[in-house]
Amino acid sequence: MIKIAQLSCGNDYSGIQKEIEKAAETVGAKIVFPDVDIDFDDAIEDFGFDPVSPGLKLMVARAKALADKSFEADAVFIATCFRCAEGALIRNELRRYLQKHTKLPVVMYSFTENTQASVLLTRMEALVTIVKRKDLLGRERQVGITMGLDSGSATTKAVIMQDNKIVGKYWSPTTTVMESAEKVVAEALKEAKMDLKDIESIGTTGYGRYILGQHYKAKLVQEELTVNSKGAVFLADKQKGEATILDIGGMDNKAITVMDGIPDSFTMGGICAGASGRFLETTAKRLGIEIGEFGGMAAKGELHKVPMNSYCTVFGIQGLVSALAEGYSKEDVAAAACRSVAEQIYQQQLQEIDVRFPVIQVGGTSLLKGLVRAVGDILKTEPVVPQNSQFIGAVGGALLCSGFI
Amino acid sequence: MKIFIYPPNSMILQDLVERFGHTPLALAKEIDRRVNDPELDSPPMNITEIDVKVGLKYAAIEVPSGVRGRLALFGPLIDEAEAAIIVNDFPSTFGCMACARTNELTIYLIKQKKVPTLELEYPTNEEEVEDFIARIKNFLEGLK
Amino acid sequence: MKTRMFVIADTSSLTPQTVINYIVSLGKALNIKDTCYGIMVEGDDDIVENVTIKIREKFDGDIFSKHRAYPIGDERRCRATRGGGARPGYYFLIEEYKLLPQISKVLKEGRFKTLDKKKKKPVDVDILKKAIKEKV
Repeated sequence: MIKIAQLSCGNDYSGIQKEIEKAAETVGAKIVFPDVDIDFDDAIEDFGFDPVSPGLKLMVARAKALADKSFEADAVFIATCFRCAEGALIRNELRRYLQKHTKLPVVMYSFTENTQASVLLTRMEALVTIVKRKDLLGRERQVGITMGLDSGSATTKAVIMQDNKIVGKYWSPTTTVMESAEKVVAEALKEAKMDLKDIESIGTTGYGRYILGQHYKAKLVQEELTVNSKGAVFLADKQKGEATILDIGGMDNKAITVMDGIPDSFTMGGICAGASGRFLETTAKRLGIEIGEFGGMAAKGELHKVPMNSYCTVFGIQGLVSALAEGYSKEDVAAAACRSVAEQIYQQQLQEIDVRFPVIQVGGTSLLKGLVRAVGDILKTEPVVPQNSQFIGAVGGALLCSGFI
Repeated sequence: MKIFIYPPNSMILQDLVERFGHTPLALAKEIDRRVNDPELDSPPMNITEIDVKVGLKYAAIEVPSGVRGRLALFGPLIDEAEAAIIVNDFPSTFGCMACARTNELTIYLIKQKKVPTLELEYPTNEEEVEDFIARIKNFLEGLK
Repeated sequence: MKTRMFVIADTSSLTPQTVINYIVSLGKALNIKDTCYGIMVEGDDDIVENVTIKIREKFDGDIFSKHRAYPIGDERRCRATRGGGARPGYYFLIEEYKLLPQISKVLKEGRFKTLDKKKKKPVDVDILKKAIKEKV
């Protein structure tokens, strides 16, 4: 049984402790609470940050017990109330403290009273995976001939790697899991000039990973949080240290924070089209251009020229159309659309995590130069867009499953 | 009279209030009602999403859920209070009092009620303990 | 149904067993359990409250009491079933426990004298000026 040490404040009073325990149980883990002495002064002094809230002091003391190994656990779950500034500071600093002083995987979450076990499940699953597959996740080079399959809700991707290089790749919109996979596998094999029997190991990820794992007798079937993280840092050549992986999807967005390629927090959105690639697709349609051209056009426009009163896909786009009528250029309107999406991602999602640098932008939308520029403008950084950035899941799968050869 | 005590889970305050003939509005009363309700199942405290929403009566939606959940417990006690004893600088007030923001708001809300209130510092030596008890005794006897 | 905890001051010669024997001698329908810090008593509200008054009369400043929300042996708050780590309220109880000997002594001796306390004020600016002149 994997023991997950819980360091938290506000959970009992938000009524979500049962959900935390349910999520842990589902992935075969047990929540435990480090035992600490009543006198916290030493722990607080050692940590160097003395929060006012006693609940947060207790978290610090419990973290120290883990760092001192006076309490044994396999992984750590750090959680505090969403919108609590003091809690957020301690949560992030404890994460750093534990990553510095222990080898324990850490996952963070900021909760509300609506937090359900299902939301916590991916995090708990990632923790368990990191514990169970510690050696595998440490892999930084791909060996032999392997294939990674990423069966996402919007697209299916296949990547074939040989001796740490991509030799074949293909993507296709997902229709049915199997059909789409067969198509991308065949095309990727064609590019690599190989047969399926040449592949020594297969790794699957994404929501269709179990079906594909069974069909292709995959040696690795793993959730996307850890696989995508590894793929992104591998492609961006940022395997050591901290980073944020930002994946703005057509339907949902993911932002993952990592330390040495291992995820410790993530946030996922999917309730607002205004904060997704869909907003840009719709704008492109209204501008009468292909989405492929849209990114380049937006990159030529001025980010802050066109005023926008709404970020909504319905009302915001109406505003952009009006701007065209007022004489603004298509380039400026496209740039404003990118700014709008980036702003929404910042407002809605990135508030839930601690953005770390570099920001590695991945997924199909990372190919839209205008959007990458807008994200950079808001975060005051230049996002890294690795080559093949839309294939992170498949690359992560191919890299990790080479550990089974 | 019904005396709101702060910290509301303090054994010393609850004991002294009872000793000097009044009814302490202790937190256990609110938690008791929840944890012994067979209908609820949100361990360990049986605070539910609904409770946290009840907390909206005392704090805005933008206030963290942990604060609102706590206020769902403290709020009814504050509403009932006819007088209050507030002890500042209590050491290590964990559990129900683990959130500094809730504690600040709780004291503010009780002061807003304008009921007779005694504010004290946590005693650190025997002389202060004597003063502490004497002030509580005088305050409570004055309420009769 | 109500649960109360009774905590004996560290300096007292009173033992949990003496208190239990006394409660038993009252002949009430109660569930009693001794713990590391004292005793827990559970029963109908009126009976528990009545017994509390009697215990205070009998043992005065040696024993302190509070209402406990959870029933005796409740797993939701038990360290053993929670996977280690005391419930947070336990630390608070320990803090208060440290103060009980002094409270017990004052109560037993019936000393109720208030102190003349003055709030700390910032140092007078003239004193500060003088100190600066002298030292700098």
